[in-house]
Amino acid sequence: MNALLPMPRLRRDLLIAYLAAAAVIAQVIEAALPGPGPWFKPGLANVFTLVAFLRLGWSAAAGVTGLRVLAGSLALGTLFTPGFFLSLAGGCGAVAMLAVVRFLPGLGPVGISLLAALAHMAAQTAVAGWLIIGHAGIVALLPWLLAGSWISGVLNGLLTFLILEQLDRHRALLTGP
Amino acid sequence: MKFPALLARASTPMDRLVMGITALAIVVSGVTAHGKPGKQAVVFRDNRPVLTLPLSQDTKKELAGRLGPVTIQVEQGRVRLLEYQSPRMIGTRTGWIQGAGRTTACVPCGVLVRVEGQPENTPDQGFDAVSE
Repeated sequence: MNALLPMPRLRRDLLIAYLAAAAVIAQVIEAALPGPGPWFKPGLANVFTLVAFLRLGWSAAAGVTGLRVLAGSLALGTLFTPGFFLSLAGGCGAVAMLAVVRFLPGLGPVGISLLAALAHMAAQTAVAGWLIIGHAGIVALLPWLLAGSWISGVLNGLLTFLILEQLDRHRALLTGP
Repeated sequence: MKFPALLARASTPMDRLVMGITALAIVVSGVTAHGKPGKQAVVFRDNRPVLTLPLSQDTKKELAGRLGPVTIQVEQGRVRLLEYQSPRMIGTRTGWIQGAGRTTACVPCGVLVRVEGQPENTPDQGFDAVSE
């Protein structure tokens, strides 16, 4: 499941762009829908980051995340608002966790997604506490926020698994020119 | 395909270990974060305590958040935050809180409400470690 694919540079770059576009679409759609609860945000855009990570590597996942944060903020009109910095912080936290899990053997999409989701939320809470709210008391919310992230992390991991099953049969991901 | 079967197929033993450890850590931290019933609610705006509301007196106060007015309501020993212009309305949707140490916040508004447990007439001991 965690096999990186060798492929021509152009095809790789195109796949990164496609995954980033899909992530932006998921982010915009999700922002328009009512959330299921105060502590729970599905974070479907992260599925495409995970697909990039598991098939194209860490740098591709970082690229998808960066493009998604920037283009998603432009599409939603939230560039340089507090929401943008929260999104950026979450993305950086998740990408940093992905850099770590590269060295953890035996993890599949579910475990990787879960750890990335928790790192995403922890980074967002830290930035919210220290830069936006300006009070460390927001850390008291962390158990509830992390509980929501735990659920979304597992669900997104399962979704990533199902997408990879389909994607691995697609000729765009087959090796060779 | 049923959810348990999908989970079993999609996850590795290491995944399930990570799921168990993180779930346990979250539950333990959630249980320990619950305090005794609070005595007062302290309202912060951009790291500055701007209001202290005894939970024994029902009241409703409005202050200016970054995105517009925010209402803090105290009723029956509980407090809640009502924002009107926030993207996700997390503060409003959190609802009432009352245990000491509980927090509700509207991050985009820059407003945080924290329930404190100390008696109403003692000086606040909780802010020495907060950095700007």
